[in-house]
Amino acid sequence: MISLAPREEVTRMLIDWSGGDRQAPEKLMPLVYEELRQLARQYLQRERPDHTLQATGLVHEAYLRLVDQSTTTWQNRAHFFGVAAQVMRRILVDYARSHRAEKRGGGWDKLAFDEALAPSAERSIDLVALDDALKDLLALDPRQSQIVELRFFGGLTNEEVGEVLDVSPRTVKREWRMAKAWLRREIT
Amino acid sequence: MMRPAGEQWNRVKELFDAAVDLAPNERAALLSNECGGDDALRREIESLLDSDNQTDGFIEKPAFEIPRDLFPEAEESLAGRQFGAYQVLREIGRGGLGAVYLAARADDEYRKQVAIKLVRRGLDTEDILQRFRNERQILAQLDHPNIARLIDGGTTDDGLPYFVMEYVSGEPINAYCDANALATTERLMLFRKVCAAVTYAHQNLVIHRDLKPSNILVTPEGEPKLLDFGIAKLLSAGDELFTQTIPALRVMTPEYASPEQVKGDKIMTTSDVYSLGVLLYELLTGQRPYRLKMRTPEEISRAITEQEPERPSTAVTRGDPISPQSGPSRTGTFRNPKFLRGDLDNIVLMAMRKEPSRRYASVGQFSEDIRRHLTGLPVVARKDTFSYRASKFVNRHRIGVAAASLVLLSLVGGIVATLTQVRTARRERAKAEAISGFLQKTLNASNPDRNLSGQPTVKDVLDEASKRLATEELSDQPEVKAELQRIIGESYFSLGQYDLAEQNLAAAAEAQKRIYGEDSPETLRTFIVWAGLWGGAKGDYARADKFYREKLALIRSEQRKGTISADYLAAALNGFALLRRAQGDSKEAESLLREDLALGPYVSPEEKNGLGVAQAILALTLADQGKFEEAIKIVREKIAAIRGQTAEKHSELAANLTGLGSFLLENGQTAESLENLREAEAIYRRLYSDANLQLGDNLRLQAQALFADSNYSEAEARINETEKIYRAATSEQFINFATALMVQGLIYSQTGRTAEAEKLLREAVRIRTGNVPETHFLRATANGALGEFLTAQKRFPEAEQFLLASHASLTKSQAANSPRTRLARQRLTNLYEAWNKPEQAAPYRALLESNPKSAVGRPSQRGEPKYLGVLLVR
Repeated sequence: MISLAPREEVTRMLIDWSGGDRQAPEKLMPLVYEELRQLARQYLQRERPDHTLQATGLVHEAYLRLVDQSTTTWQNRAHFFGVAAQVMRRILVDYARSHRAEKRGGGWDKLAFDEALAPSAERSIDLVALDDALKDLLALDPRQSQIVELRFFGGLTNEEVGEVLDVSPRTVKREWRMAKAWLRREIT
Repeated sequence: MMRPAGEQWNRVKELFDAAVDLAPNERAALLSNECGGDDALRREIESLLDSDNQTDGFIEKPAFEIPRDLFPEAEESLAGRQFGAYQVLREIGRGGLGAVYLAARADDEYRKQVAIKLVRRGLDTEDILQRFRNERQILAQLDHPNIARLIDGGTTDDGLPYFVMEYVSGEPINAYCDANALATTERLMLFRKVCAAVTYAHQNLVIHRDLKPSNILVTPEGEPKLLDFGIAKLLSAGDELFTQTIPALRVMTPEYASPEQVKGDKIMTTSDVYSLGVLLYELLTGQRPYRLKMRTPEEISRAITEQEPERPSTAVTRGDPISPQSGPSRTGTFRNPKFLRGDLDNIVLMAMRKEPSRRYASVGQFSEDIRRHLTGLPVVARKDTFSYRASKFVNRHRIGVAAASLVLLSLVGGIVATLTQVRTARRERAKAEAISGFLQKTLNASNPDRNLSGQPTVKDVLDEASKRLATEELSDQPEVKAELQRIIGESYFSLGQYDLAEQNLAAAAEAQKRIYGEDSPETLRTFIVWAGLWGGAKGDYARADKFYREKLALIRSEQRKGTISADYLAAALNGFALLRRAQGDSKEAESLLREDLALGPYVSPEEKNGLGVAQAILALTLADQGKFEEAIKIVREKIAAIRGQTAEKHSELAANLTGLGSFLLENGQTAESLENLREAEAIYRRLYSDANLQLGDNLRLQAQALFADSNYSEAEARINETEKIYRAATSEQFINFATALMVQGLIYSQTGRTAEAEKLLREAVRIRTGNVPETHFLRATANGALGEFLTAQKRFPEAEQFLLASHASLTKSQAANSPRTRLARQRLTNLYEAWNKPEQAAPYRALLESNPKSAVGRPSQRGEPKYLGVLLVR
């Protein structure tokens, strides 16, 4: 396969996706993953310490860099955010899971240090448990599960989530509220 | 829990959405209606509504931080980056707290290499920096061949704290021992070198807190070097965090942490004894002391606080050594249970006892016991028997480290100097031990109850020390006792505790006079400090004058002989200069200060701070003589230099800012003056307790500036605090006391309290007439202030008398365009105009016009004071 620049490749895959290519999401994943890693690296180098590095910024910036907006539709955009949120979820949950493993095995020192780093409310969420609960929610209510993924892992606003899922922001808001209540109950 | 599916789920959603925005009673009504008898459905919805009430913030922010080490390579490209004067060459290590880089001074042709520890993002930068500022001098003072020096520290452009340390090329002590297959005896000897370094640090009141192999590197020459002394403390979380679960583990490497660290109790020198015990355990056995299955934080902390470690001689027979490096021979003299059984078992386990008081009382004792073992002497350590010697201070060992960090530089510096002096004579070893024993006890007994932080302040420690010395303590070592009293007196002096300073200095002086004689270097040193107190805070000018005139020549010659250090000659010259200035001879003061400043190359690093103050005083004496341009230039340059050197805000910076503020005030630049004075005030308030003279002076100057801006209410608040401070800390003889009265008087006069005002102003004139010569500008300004007041009261003949005297005096002592002279002329002009004698006002106005104000800095925005002008006094 001729290797295209990531931007063209991603854009093409999105278009293929809309055209019915069912493999497209799987093919997109590694490219998006790579882009997110690179972006994160750049962020870490230039951000001031008081700016927390946020998933939000990353996913949006990846979109601007990877997708040629002149040739794509809102549907392509929705697909991209869907994939990016999924990638972020995977990256973060894997990280949390590996740290759980470390907790049981070696590398304990490191974890102790990590926990010394200003444990924010967000950090204190057990991502692994959240991930498991989201899987349960997916079985029960796929849309609510996706809303959480897009909002929490993808950093999208209600409007953007509505766009991705093709529902009104009001619906997103209502579903989000219940999903939160349900998830919170499940993981505590 | 019910897991409704399909239809039922949709029903749950529907009811949840309907109920969620209702008031509680409406919700209940709705659910009763809709659920009918379906209790499971109702419970499900109620539990979701209940959960909804608690979702505040839950996953609301999508923005959880991406863990930085998710992308470890992200922080790697620091090569070539500049940290202060250092340029990063490459990364040499990485830990949870941040990365360590090899760097070199960018401007150094020899490219001396240093290690830079960059604290990672996320730690509380401001807190770390504050600790660093507090402790850097103490840490930087640790000067020992086996301790890697802390050279510098600061923040990067993007706000990350970093520490610059001596670069050590070597490997961790356990790896080194194994790689070189050191025998047990060699390991013990190497370990004793580590102990010596830790002991040295303890004598300097610094506790390591994080001793572990990776912090103890051994150079290829076989010299151990301890890294990161005191860094753990700098990086440890704030006190409030310490109440949280297993807090000490946050920063401590858990397996070397002592039980008290794990429990979050106070850390002491004996905590380092414990960590060294673990290290020795590992060096001797190749095993960690506790058998752990999971190595979870909970398990480790339980083991540390509860589990008795296996005897080293038993552990050594255990299979696979934990440390990956510890491969080699378990035969010969290394890891042979026979060599460990008995003494070494007992020594290691004694160091590792759970109760700090049952361990070796010091690292020195620990090391000494190893020496005894090596030379075949009976060791102190017994199989877990109660050590009465250690238990003696069982109740006192609670404070430890906290105290260590709080003892002021001056105290530490003094004691180190003392120890060094004493150590030079080996036969006086007992004295050194007496001092460090005393110190240890003092630190451990200092009562922190009085302050909220629960940590003893410097003053607590000094109070405890002076209380102990006031009793029979150390009376078998009178020389040591006197020396300690001098040091404590000096420390109180620098804290602004003048009465306590005098008590200790007097006791020291009396003893030293008796022991060594009046003209001995020992006695002179104490008197030099004491005389500084007379001439400064105490305002006992006659006594100070007599001392300097009689002894200055002797002090100079003793300094040339080397029996008195340049520091003390500098202090004497400085004190005498201050006195001469107070007595009105700023010219002689200037020459004494120039002699003082010429000692620059010879004084100790600590005294350099003192010379900075001397320079500020030199600027004052220049200003006294009307040489404002020179004065302002000196101070501005000094401030720029200080800010260039360090972000630290210490008394030297405050003194210079205050000086600049006063010159700007005299020059009519009140806004800029206030700006500088306020910055200095903040520093003083942070450094000193309430009744500090420098703070008093600063507030008085602020009152003057505010007065000049007609802001009488704020001016009054400040002058009242000034007066309170002066009264608490000094006598009315203090040079600035009368000034404060004058400021207060003029404020009262402006706000209609004329009777009180007159009383204060006459009081000021009385004091000044009594304590400064007729030609002194301070007397002239007191007369001027009273004259100004009387003019306002339309008591013209009386006013004229004071204003003419003031003017006559100033024309003799001051330059013609000096603001003081100009003010005196302005006052006379105002008087004669108010008195309706324009022909008499004319010559003064002409003098004002022919001697315009010298242009210094920004021109005055206010123009000349028209009436009741600025008080040109300091």
